[in-house]
Amino acid sequence: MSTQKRPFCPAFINRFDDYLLKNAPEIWSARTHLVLYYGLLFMSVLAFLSFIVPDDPRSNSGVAFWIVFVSLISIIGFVLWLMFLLRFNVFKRYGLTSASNRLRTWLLYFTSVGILVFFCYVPPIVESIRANSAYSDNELASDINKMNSLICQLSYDSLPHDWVNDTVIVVNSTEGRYENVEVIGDVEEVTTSAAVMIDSAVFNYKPAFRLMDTTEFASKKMGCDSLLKLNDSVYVFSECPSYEFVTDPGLSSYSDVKLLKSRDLYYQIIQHYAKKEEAPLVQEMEVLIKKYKYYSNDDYSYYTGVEPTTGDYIQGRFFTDNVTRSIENIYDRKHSFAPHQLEWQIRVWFYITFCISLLVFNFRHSTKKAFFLSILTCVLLSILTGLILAFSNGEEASMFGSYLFYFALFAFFSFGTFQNRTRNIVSGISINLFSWMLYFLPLLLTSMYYEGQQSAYNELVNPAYSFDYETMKLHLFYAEIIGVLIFIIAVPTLFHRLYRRWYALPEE
Amino acid sequence: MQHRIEEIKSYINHNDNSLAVRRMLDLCLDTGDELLLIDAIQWSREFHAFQKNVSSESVPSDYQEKAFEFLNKLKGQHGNTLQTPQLLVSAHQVSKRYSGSNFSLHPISIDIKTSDVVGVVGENGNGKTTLLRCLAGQLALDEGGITFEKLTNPDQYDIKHHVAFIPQRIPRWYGLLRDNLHFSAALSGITGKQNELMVDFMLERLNLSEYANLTWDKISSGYRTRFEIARVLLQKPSILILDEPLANLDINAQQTILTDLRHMAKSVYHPMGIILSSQQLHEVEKIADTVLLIKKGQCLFRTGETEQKIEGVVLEIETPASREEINSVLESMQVEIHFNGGFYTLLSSNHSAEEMLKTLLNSSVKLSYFRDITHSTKRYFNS
Repeated sequence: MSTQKRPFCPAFINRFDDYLLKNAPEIWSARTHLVLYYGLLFMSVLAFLSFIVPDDPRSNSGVAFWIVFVSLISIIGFVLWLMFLLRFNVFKRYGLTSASNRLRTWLLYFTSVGILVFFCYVPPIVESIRANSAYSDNELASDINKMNSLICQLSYDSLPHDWVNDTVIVVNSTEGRYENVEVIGDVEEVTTSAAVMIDSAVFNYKPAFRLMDTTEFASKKMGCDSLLKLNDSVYVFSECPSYEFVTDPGLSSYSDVKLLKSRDLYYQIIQHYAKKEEAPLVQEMEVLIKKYKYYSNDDYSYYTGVEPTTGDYIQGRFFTDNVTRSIENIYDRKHSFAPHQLEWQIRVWFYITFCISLLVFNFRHSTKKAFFLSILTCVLLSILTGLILAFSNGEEASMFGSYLFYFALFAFFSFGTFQNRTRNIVSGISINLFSWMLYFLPLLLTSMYYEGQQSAYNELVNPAYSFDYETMKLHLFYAEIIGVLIFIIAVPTLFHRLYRRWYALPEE
Repeated sequence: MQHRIEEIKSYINHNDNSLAVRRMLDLCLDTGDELLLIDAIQWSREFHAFQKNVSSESVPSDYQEKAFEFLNKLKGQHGNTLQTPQLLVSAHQVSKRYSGSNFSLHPISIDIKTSDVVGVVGENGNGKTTLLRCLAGQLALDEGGITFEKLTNPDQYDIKHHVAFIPQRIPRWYGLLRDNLHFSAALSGITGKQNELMVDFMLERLNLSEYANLTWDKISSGYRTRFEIARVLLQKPSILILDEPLANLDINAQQTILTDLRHMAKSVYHPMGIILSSQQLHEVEKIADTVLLIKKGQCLFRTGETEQKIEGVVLEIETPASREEINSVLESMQVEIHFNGGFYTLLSSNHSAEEMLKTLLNSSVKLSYFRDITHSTKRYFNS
């Protein structure tokens, strides 16, 4: 057995390493077993440190600093892994190897890189666990409701009680495509929503009514406090004054306790207000403020030259901004791995892992010269394409077209390897770039489809087209899956043959 | 088998123990009996341990007794016999021209069979390495072709798996030397216990066990060559190509490696063809079945073919006598004399080497060295 000493390495790992060396050289040379062992060891230590480090869930998350720190360790780990990985290469030694070995090799690289990249996820996961164990969602929601109710009771006289009305005429968006047409008497003016607000504030007028697009109407209807229908196209929206002084809108998705809206608070407290003894209410409020108030440096007020508003008064008395910030921090920590967050967290992990493992795979199957020239070619082509698009006012379609052109070009030169008599550097670069581009092809085609649909809609070729973000997201997800499948099929079939043929060809 | 056993006994009797150990290992490998091979490896280890620890040249008597005992065990074995040599590679009119260079390798044909050792000699920059790299598939041929008889429709990868090439400048190894050997054996399909056994065998066979747990930086260039040979042999190539393998070896190591290579080529366990280039003409000529002399990209001489056409006798001598003295002594024999600054080359078409030497000695010309190079490629270096 090898006498090489590895720190913190138990005998069974050394025995397993020795077994792989003598029985499965390709698996052994990938060193994934060591990355897995040392990775788990490091992650355990990291998790332990993250657990014991003093940290208050109400504070701003310091996880970004942890991620930077752990990223540096991941980079060191990656370099160490590369140092051991590059020592032995079955493929470059012309050893006995098969097509399935190519796929296995890539999967081993993917696993190793995946473990190293995953280091950065440990501190956020621990932080989330700590926040979840400290505060439950129901507890947060109940406390928010309680605080808002108490503020309404304690500050009743200072709060506005009248609802604001807004009259709109709904028009069909597919016919007229109106975008906020404001009508004041006989004057019709087309503006943006923001412009309407500014104009209203400056000139102190209120539009008689607004024309509203069906899409905006549908959206506004969902979240309005009250809606009065006058006829088939004229509606009056009524908006309750805001009584949500402490809030976290995202919490409603996770809590069983319903978060009270301004409207609910109005009906429960404001509408039939009955004055209660103040002292117990204040005491109750103080307990809650103490529970959530974390920051002390923003309690002071300063002269701004502007008359204080009701909000300023509430904030000054109950530290609502401070408390809201703490609750937001708790919420962010608790749900940093919630499904909608997890989706992009996984994507970040996957794409970093995929790209690095693909680069390692390329490096292990081509010459140093071909590998680094491939990177240079990629950079130069990106610059060149960017310049061409900039000077020709090219849009997304031009960019997609360039991608397809390069893809076809590299595929052509890659397949040329089967005709070459010598190891041609152009073919080597093409095979590398072809392998980089293949995965993204389904994503590109899907994007092209949606781009085409959007153009057809804009140019009135297909006015009935209705953009559905969720469907597009789903299709892009399918494209990602298909990309992975194509790549997994291409590695043992296409790339195995291309690299095998290219690398073994005579050099000159 | 019996003949080989007697040969080993004779080595032991004459105290050529190191040679006896090597032959014993070869013999046990050829029997195909793993247990015998394990015993032989153990026997070799004991010998090397003894060699390392004891300053005396002779081994103790009980060691010899044990050796004979072990050899008697082998008597009952039916050793496999070497099969008829089979053609491995046939290179036909191979030629190569480098772009941007005046040098070109002119068409050369060569056949290599199992058990063949082919030596390629010549001065620097005359095309030896080019020829070897063409045969190894590292250089594309301009003309001609190479056929690998044992391979059916091979691609370049198969060919490179089949042919091992050891360059003059060996790329460095990383990690433990032993791990490298295990890895090389495993990538050729020698796995598990067989892997351990073959690595141990190769380490003992080339006397490298002592260094197996070191790294590349800690061994000399001579040992690096020997480790590289061990590594390549573990990959069980059919054709082994070595470019200047003797360059970094001392005289003893050169002899050992060359005779070992010859025995390995003729191994029953894994017979192979070997082609090597070297500047050590006489050493290569001693062990090679065929020697090719390459000069200015052309095959100038080939043993077995060209030597039949050779006329006259060429004698190489080293002497403190002046050219005039030698001239006066050999004047009557009509000998052509050349001097290259170190050696005199005496060329005669009428007299034998013995006659020339006798004349020189009778005339009291002191000779510090002489060699009949009539059939050696060396004669072409002096012309």
